[in-house]
Amino acid sequence: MRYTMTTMAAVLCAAALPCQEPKGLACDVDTAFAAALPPLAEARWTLIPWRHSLTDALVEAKQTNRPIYLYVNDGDVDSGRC
Amino acid sequence: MRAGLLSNPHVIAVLRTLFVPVHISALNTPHCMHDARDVELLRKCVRADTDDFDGGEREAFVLPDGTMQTVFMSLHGRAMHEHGTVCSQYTAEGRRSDDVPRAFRHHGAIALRAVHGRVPEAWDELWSDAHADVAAIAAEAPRWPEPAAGRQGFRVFVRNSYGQYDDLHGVQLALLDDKVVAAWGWLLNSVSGTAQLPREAFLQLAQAMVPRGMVDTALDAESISGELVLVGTAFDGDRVSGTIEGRFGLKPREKREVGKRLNAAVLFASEGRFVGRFTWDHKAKQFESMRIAAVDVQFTWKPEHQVAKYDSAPRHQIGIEWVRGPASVVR
Repeated sequence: MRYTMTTMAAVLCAAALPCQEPKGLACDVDTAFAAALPPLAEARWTLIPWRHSLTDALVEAKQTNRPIYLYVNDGDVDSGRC
Repeated sequence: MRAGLLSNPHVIAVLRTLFVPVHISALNTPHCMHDARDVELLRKCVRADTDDFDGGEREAFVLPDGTMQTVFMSLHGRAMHEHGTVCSQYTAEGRRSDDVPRAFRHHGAIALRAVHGRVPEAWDELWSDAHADVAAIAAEAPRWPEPAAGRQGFRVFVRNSYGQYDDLHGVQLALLDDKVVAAWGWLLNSVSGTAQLPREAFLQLAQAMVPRGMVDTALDAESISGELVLVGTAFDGDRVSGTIEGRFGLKPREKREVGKRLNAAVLFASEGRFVGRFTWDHKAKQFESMRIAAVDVQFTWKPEHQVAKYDSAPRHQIGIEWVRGPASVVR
């Protein structure tokens, strides 16, 4: 958690502030690293308790009497690949 | 991932409270499914009034008795058999539109009524900005993938354009064996004080760096060039700190390398430099910190057909950090 909050702060700073040391290594690394992170507005899906088996989820749905929200896409939702 | 809808705090709150959220891959990529039984189960859901689930993003509510309701796509704001588009799925701005949750909310309420006879009070409450659960989710940090206990390696963040998409992203672990890590760090003892990441580990890292938008890109080793080198600059007892240098080239030559979904596969070329910093502990044989970024990246897509005039300007951004499980993240 400490890491992710720090990272978010770095993202916000990178977006809001010009690089203070345009020739400095630390500035290059941190600015470029922060820019490669997914934007927060499209990163909260990681907070959803995804199940990755529809078969098992149907059993859970019956036990809890809750409908399933099914999201189908090509590949893996976490990595953006498979 | 085009996750505008699924990053909406209200949507997350109702999914946590009232539904069983499930993500699976489509029938065109069954090898990506975590549960092989789901192939046949999803195939049985294919009907004229649902979808063929043969690729692309699809959403549906499924009742506890297994009945699949209307298949829809929030980014289009409509059911799959209807025409018209409410939002643009291609731009980050479009995916964050206030209109995106409209179809989800409509079909979600129908599913809840079908199960409970009415919409639970929590449904309406959780669409309020004032709800404590919604506020807490809005303040919660993303949960990036973490190694299992005892494992360590790189966590690789990637953002890139892809055709009409202006901003796709992904995050992936590239874990290394402890012996490989120890041998890499031991090289810092050399006279030069440098340590090049072994080729096999570099290939593993490079595979995680590929641009997103295609399914399961796996480059041939011959399509990957470059090196990543630790350069010790400060030696303090067992600890070595320094900079990270190197370069990379990702240049697939065969279409089979750039995705299992061939109609989405596009060749590309990406090359750039690594910059970074690290601290290595010889005694513990592990990194205390590491952060790397790609800079001066030259990136081009190489489509078979003429590039559409509305394609986004090509960009490929990469950020890398060292992680150790569980929940022990070093930077």
